[in-house]
Amino acid sequence: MSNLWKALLLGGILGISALFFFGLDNNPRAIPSPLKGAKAPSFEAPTLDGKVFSSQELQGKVSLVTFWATWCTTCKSDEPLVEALQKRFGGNADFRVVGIVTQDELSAAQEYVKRSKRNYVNLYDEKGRLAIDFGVYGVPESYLIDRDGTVIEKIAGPINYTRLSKQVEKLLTGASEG
Amino acid sequence: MMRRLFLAAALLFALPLPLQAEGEPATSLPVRLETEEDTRVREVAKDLRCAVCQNESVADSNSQLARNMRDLIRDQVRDGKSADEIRAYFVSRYGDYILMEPRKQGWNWVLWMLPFVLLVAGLVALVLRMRRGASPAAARQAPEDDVIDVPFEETDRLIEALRSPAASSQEKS
Repeated sequence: MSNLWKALLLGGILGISALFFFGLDNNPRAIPSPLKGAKAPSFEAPTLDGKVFSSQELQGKVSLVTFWATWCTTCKSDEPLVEALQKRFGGNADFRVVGIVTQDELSAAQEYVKRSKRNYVNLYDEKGRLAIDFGVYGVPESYLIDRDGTVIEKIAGPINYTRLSKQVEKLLTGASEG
Repeated sequence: MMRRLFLAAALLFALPLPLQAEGEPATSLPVRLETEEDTRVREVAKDLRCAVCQNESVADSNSQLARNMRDLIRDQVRDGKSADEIRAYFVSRYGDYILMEPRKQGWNWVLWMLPFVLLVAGLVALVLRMRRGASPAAARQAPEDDVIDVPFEETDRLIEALRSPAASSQEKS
């Protein structure tokens, strides 16, 4: 075997190994969202109790929009964390959590919310249009939005309470300073 | 008499039974022909990746997300949007990842061209190797170690020994 072939073979093996080394370490859910740094989509959707909620109600506020479903176990484990965020910052009129039920039955969601007594508004995304508009892959997925309506962060999967509460605090205090 | 009855019964059961009674309408699955709208929806959906599947397009997948995406594409087609506009909408929401084929721009050209570059490089290497092998210089360099130089007499003796093992054993003794 000539030196050229040896070098090519070695290069190929090293290249493939490098792809595996770096590729397998990636978080498959950490796909960059084109919405990050862009304006969040505006929307209007029914709440679970039949009213209509418009994204205009979020204007000038820091908000957390979180997509969930009753069949999603990670959403259930996230629930107390989202509620804790709402409890901690909800007293501040400048913060709002909005839950959006997607890929689920309305009756199941209504029943679930009735039992769990959530302390934030929940909307029903009947045809999954809101989810697609936000570029949602699966549930849970959450979007932290600043006062200007810009998406600061997309969180695919479970939320990190400590990190998220720091971000919310920073966004809230940052605005009051300015 | 009994024999005739048995024969009649056997013939009766041997006859192929009709699947339906005479005069009843034929039962078949409804066939729905693809409309022009369906074709346009499929054309766009096959270019979009089902985000929750493994290498499956929105057109092929039966996941909830893919079904929602197909419905949205249909609505956008009905609104008169072009295929490019619909694709652009999905890219604005999900990024380039949503496209089944990477767009032919920027670094993506490396992905598109690499297989052809490797193919050409392989062909060039093959041609060079064949030409080197066919050249007179290479022929002169052909190793001669592979040829076993055995005298004819020796070969004849070996063949004879193989033909008559008995003779061979006698010879040995």
